[in-house]
Amino acid sequence: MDKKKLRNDFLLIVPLLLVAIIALIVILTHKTNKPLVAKVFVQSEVVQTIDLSDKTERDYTIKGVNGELIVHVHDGMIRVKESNCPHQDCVNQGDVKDTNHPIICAYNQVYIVIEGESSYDVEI
Amino acid sequence: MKESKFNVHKMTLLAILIAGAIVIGILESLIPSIGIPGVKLGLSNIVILIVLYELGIWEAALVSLSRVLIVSLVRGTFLSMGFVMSLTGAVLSLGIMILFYLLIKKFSVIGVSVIGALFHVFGQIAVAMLYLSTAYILYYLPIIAISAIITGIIVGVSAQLIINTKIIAKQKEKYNF
Repeated sequence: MDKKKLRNDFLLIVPLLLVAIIALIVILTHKTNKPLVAKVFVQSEVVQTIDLSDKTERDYTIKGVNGELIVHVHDGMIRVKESNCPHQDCVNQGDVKDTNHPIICAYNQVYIVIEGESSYDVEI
Repeated sequence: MKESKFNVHKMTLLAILIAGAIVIGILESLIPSIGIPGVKLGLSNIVILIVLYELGIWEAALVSLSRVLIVSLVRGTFLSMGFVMSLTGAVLSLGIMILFYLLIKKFSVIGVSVIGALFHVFGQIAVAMLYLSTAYILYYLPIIAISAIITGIIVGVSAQLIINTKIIAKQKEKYNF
């Protein structure tokens, strides 16, 4: 193989990888002071607001576009317990307790976001 | 000898390659997810890369788009959100790969593969953001991008190894297309 082209590949890939790793570190280390409420959206409409400072264990049933999700809340953490989606990514993601890791179920067009006092304000 | 536009051997070869790309995609979907949406190997891109390098850009476009269309019809997801995500990813990925391959001839298969994999996930994330009208998905971008770069390297090396066997180049020579 052409050595010069391989060197160019290297010069292309390494900066891209570095940018991605730095972005990942920034996201992972960005802590919010007090995550307070989890908002459950279906097709970008808030259908349920859950207070996470309430530590009691409880379940919520959310009607998604293609079926139902069961959301479990305990100790200030939230996760999807059951979903009818084929890939089960939302279920496998497990407990979420900070603002940096939204749970997304594309199949049901549901997403769950924790909003805290100093979370990023990302809006479209 | 002027080459015929409809070469049966070429048509058959393309059909086999499309079938191969589809089967690889289906086999890949059997590998369990690691819990982050959008992270997968993208092995079908091996076929697209080989076609791009050995047969040309139109053939690569044909294989890529046929694959998306046929997979969606088989899975019954035609015109769904998943289909729009795949299609956007495939078109963006192919577009940037053709650009890097034809106009910027400074990268090997590995570089082209990595940039293709990256634009594939950019396209998918953009569509997911539009459908869910939220930018929260961007939190996933770094980890998805890192995995796309790594799988892109694997795919690029695999494609290069297959191109090195000259398996398609031999067919081209034999049946002259």
